[in-house]
Amino acid sequence: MSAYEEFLTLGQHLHDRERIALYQFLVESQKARYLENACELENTGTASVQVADGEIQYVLKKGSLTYSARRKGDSTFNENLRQINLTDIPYLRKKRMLRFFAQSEVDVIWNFPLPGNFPQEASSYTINLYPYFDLRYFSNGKGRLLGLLKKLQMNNSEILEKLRVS
Amino acid sequence: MFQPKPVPKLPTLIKARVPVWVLAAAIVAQAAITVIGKPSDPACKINVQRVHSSTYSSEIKKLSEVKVKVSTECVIAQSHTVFRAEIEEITANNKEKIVKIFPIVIGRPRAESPDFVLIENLTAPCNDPGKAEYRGRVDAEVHLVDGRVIKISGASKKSNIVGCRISAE
Repeated sequence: MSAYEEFLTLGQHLHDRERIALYQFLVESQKARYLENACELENTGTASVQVADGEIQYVLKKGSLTYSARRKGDSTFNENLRQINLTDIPYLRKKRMLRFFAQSEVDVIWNFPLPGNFPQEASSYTINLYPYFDLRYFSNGKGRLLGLLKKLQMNNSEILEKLRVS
Repeated sequence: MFQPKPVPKLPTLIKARVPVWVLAAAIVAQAAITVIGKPSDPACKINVQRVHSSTYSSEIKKLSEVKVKVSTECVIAQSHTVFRAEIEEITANNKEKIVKIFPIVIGRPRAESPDFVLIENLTAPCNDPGKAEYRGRVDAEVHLVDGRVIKISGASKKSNIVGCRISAE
């Protein structure tokens, strides 16, 4: 089993540093798929993807991108779990969408993992208040400048390398 | 013989013109209307469990980690809870020192229990040798479905001694 396949089954046992590495891995490895999702969203206003044991539904409306998610087979979605506003500048818009897709998939892998050897307790749907592409995540809400400094000090290359070779 | 003229104890003007029982009934009715008209108290409670060693981490991942679980429960449905959690160490002179601050997380209730949010996965590496006494402490903001925000704080009822030490951040 590769590190990525294992991460898909860890769910609530995924540590924060593993989730950040997973986010970085998804941003760099799923770019082509995310560009397709972005295109679909721009054309139709909605896009759906499946990851781990979950389904994600993206909605783009008036420059606001949101996602809803549910466990595969569930009848209802958990609505509007995250939201970002998009700019009209095409390059920045696309970049922000790609990051949002990666963040949403990490959220879903964390909450709706594939069945595996790791027992999951009946936790609530949990996400970080600040996404990994927001520097305030790294300062825990104490400003972007401090967040940048903390981000530069962070080292999770070992986990990222494991994911890359998988 | 002189007979004093009886003087009425209350001047006529302030004599009650409404029977006392009617007045009492009116007061009771007013109180009942006030109680019924008031929205139910959206009291929420928070539960911060004891900090304990993570069995999963030691058995499956071969890592030494401690874990704390937190939950909020309200009398009405909630939209989500924002948790700011930390672990503090109780030092030898009985003072508290924060050794771990968790990233701020949001928990959303499950459909089957809309008034309850449980966060399972607050873990911290605990690699330094020795024993230490820890307690979880959480500030939470509960966002109710009717738009109200309830701020509550809580800590583990009891501190717990674990067989490892968290490196202070």
